[in-house]
Amino acid sequence: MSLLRINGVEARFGGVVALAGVTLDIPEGVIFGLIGPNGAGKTTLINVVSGLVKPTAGSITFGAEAGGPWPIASAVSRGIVRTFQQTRAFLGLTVRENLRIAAVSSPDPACIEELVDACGLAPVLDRVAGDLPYATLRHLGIALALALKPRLLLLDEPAVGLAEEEVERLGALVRRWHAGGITVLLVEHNVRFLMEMSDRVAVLDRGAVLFVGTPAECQDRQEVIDVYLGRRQADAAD
Amino acid sequence: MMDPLASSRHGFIRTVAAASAMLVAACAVSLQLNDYYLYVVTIGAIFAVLAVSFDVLLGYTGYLSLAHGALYGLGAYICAVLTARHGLPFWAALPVAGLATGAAGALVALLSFRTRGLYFAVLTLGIGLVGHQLFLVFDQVTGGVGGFVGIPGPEQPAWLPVSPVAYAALLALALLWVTFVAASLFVRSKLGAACLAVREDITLARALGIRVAAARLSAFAFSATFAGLAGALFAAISSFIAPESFTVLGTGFQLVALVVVGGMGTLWGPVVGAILLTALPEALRVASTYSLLAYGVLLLVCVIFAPKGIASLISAAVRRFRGKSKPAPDPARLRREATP
Ligand SMILES: Nc1ncnc2c1ncn2[C@@H]1O[C@H](COP(=O)(O)OP(=O)(O)OP(=O)(O)O)[C@@H](O)[C@H]1O
Ligand SMILES: [Mg+2]
Repeated sequence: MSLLRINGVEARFGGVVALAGVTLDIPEGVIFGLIGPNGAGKTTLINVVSGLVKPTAGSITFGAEAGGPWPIASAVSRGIVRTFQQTRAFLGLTVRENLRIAAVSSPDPACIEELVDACGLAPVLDRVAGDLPYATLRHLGIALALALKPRLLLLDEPAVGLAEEEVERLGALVRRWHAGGITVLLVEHNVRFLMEMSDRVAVLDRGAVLFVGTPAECQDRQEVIDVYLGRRQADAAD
Repeated sequence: MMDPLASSRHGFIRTVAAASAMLVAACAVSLQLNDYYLYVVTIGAIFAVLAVSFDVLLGYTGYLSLAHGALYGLGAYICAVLTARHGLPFWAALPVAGLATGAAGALVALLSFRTRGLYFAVLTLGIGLVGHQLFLVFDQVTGGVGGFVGIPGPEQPAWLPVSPVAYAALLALALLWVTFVAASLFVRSKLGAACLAVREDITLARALGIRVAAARLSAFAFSATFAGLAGALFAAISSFIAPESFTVLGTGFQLVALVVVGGMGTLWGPVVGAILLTALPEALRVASTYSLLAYGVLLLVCVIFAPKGIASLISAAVRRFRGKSKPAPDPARLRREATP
């Protein structure tokens, strides 16, 4: 049973075609990985699904409900919640105030206590978010999204800039909430992390879906290696 | 574990207790003053009401509105018309003026929907200028440039045998208390949290399901309501009002100065700012020219030496004092460390 169905979504910015007719099925209960080179349209896809950017064509179905994408507030109330590629938290406010804001539209503010523990925020509740170490800030960004008890969590490169053990902590956090019943769309450049986490993987290139399959299938496909994995390895060799 | 969201109830009770103590002290001191200083207290308190209501908008929601002076005037004229022309008692006219001005504030919010920052300020500058002009143009109702004469004062209860001037000061202080407590409740509410989110990052606020338009509308309406109440009280105790009291360049900008100098986003900082910048120059007045000069110099000194407002200086001093006198151990941490 698919939770999110993306039907022929197209997004243009002036002459730039960011999404050229994307169709994807994200089954309920999976961690769905999405990779692709810079500028492939991954963030734009998250923007469309979360209601931040209106697509020029196409639609989405969420659960049994057709007629999306919805404006961002309605998307959130349906349980579609996203994080941002550039970490976003209320930098001028304390962690406690950040969580108080997340609690405003949370259907279950009591869950925040557990989140605070799981995200390692208990010792920093009264610190200003802008002064937090980078990894803690990233966790705060995810905690704000999880506080809304999403059905579908859209994570835009959560692991970027994190050290290895921090990536592991992040992975454990996502797995724990996933086990609690959340479906996850995970956009990530850290290929190893993505392949380890995901049940299914899609590859996006220049606004089009190149491949959908299991992580193992993905790593064997020549065209994927060419457009993405190969280019990454070449980058690393530079 | 301690509830990460619980901070507010205790803080709120403490805030109300402190505000009440200040109210009692201010009333007690006021009753010893002569009429001139009572007038200074009254005007200072009314400006403090304006400053606190303005802080909800500027400090907590992040919108610099220059229409606040006009809204203050609207409250004043509504009260004047209702009491002087229609014979309504002041205590009936006061809530009407507050609610009507609140509705006008909501209208300003709707008009300025989608603008932010400088554009918003310019738009409200326009609204403030138009408002002031309307007070001049509709002279049938407002008395025009000559002013509105003969506004009845607030009815004084028999059980409070003080002079009318002292009564006015007590009323202004009481309104300040009400405004402060209401604003404290507002900023601690869900709407207040939503306003902070709007101020800090509107996109993230939306992504977290905050109804941005509702938050902004409520901040405007709240802020305007108390500006209207301040205006109504000002009209009733002055018995005479004229458009020059409600200009953008006068009242509008003065409010910005009060709140910035006092400390935005603290509620009590603007009260300090209002005392310092309205009452003090009045009290120290030798000649009115020097009063304006003193005002300007005070502004300069404050912004140079306390760019985050006087409130930030005071809280830093309090923190340093507390830190030295008792290195308070966090009882929650001790408990956590004691349990395996
Ligand atoms: N708001 C916008 N206005 C104009 N162009 C945009 C906008 N958003 C995205 N684009 C363009 O759309 C294309 C896809 O961008 P997008 O950010 O979705 O890529 P991405 O896959 O997330 O890349 P990265 O891996 O670098 O994050 C890019 O060419 C980008 O410049
Ligand atoms: Mg991106």
